[in-house]
This record gives sequence, C-alpha cells and structure tokens, in this order.
Amino acid sequence: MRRVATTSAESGGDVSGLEQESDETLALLIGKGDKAAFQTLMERHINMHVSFAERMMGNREEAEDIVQDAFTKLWIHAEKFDPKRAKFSTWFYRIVINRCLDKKRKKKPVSLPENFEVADDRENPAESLTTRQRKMQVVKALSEIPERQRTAINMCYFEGISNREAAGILNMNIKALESLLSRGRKNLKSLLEGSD
Amino acid sequence: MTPNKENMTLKRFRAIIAAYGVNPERWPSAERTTAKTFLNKSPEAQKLLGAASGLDTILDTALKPAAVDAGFLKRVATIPYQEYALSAAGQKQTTFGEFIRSLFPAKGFVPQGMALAFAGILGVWLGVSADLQPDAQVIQLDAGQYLFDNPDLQKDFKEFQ
Repeated sequence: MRRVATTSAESGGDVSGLEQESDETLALLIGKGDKAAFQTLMERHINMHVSFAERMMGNREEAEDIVQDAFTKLWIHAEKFDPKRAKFSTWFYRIVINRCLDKKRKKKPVSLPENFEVADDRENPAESLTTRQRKMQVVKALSEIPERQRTAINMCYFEGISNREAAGILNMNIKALESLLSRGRKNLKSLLEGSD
Repeated sequence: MTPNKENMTLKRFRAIIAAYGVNPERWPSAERTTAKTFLNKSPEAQKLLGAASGLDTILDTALKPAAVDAGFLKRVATIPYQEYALSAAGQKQTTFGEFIRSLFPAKGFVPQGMALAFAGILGVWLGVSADLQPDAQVIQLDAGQYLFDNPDLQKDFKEFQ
C-alpha cells in the first residue's frame, strides 16, 4: 500500500496552526502523509542539523547530503516514530548521527592537509583572514578527536542539547557523557594550542 | 557522578567546567543555580572559569552556525513530492505476496502476464536459433572441404552434374 501524501489543508486542517504544534505531533502527522507538517518540522530543525552534520563531517556538502537523506528517512519512516519511547529530537538526532557514522565508515580515512581550505561558497567576504584561519584550525581539530568525543561536544556544546538527552542519544549514562566531554575538550585544547 | 544539587564543591565545579565549558547556559540545568551561586562566592571557582574561557572563545567565534541556503531548503522541501520517496514508502509496505498479486490483478489473461510470457518465448527462440546457426555453417564447410580433398568424390560429383 502506497502511503498517500496529503496536506493539512487538503484534509481540512489549518496549515498555519501547525507552527504551534510540538515536534512529536508534527512527526505523527508526517506518519499519516501530511506534507505541511513535514514542511513545518523541516524548517524548524534543518539549520541545526546541517550545522551539526557539518561539524561531524568537516564538510558542508556532505552535511547537506546527510540531512537530506535524514529528512527522506523521516518522510518514509515517520510512522515508526513512537513519542512514548523518545522525543522527536532524540529520534532524529540518532538518524543523523548514524548517517554521519555510516558515511565516515565508507569514506577512506584521509587526514586533512595542513593547508586545507574549508569549502564554503557562502562564506562572508568580510570575514577576516584570522577568523577563517581559526575556523580551519577548529574544523581540523574537531576532525582529529575521536568520533564519540566529537559527537558529545557537538551535541552538548554547539547544539545546546541537555546532558540527559545527549546521554540518551548516545545510549550512555551522564557520568560517561561528562567523561567524554572532558576528554574531548582537553584534546581539542591541546590540538588548538599546538596549531598556534 | 551524581550531582549534589544543594551543595556545590570545587571538585564538582571543576568537573562541570571541564565538561560543559564556561557558559552557565550549557551547564546541567539541575546544578546551574547552585553552580552560579558557588561561582559568585568562590575566588578559586572564578580563577578556574577564567582559565577555561580561552577554548570557549575560540569555539564560539570559529564555528558560528551558517544558515542553509534557499536552494537546499527547496530541495529538502520537495522530498514528499519526489517519486522515489513515495515509491520507497510503498515498497516498504509491500509484501512479496502483494507484489506477485500485483502482477496478476485480475482473473484470466492480463497484459503484464502476456508480455512476460511473450518476452520469455522470444528469448528462448532467439537463443536456440543463435545457437544452431554456427553449427549449420560448420557442417556445410566441412562437407565442402571433404569433397575438395577427395578426387573420387569429385569425379562422381562431375558425373552427377
């Protein structure tokens, strides 16, 4: 049976009212094929997930591919989402993280060269050389710390996800998460000090 | 480590800074107020905070999240309208039995079945004829060669003509 895509408007719903709905309600509507709910949820989350994936992969293009795949999975598998088991953000972060890890596993491990450039054609032309260099150093340092440390820092530091939720996403307790975060920050600090 | 929500110690404060950085917004919500109070009262805590602020400053200035561009947003927004996504959703929910039945939706002859059968018969016929033709040519060539090499047969052949 093909899932028939509808919109809230087509089914008599109020599209503008979706803005007020929780992520979980929108995900359930997407499970019923509601395109407007997909649009609302996507616009709410896309920026943070692209930033998250970019920090995981060190590359904007790959980050966009990953997030596009993740939203395709959301559209196809939304009916599997169970709000009683997890928050939508937890469920969706897991999809994005797994996609990042899959892509990294398939990629040949290549360390970034000393003089590599961050590929970003949307870069602000007014951005100073120092800022650009610093950005390159941070991206490089992030790519060099262990995967789990990078994921933990990405979630807790950059995304502002609570320690409880991050521990849930990574399937570990808070003590283990804090240990990962501390080691990750320590490694980052020594890598960045070394690059000065 | 189980946080003590009532009493903050320097050891726990150090652990919070090491894990979450210097911005109280990133500290665990259950300990935030206590940690902030502790920070205001403790010179050692203030010293720790100052020493750890360098990394946060670098990370915050270097990795400001950039907004996605309109083209990418449009691409993702069209996912529900793309045939592959819809068909993937359909395939996920289709069992093998349903797939077989979908080939024979009605009783009796159906176009799909006839086309399949015709393609099969055509394939067998082409295979058989392609296989026989070289053998026939080999037989004809062998017969010609035998006649050419045998003078008695050549004589008989001339008489026959």
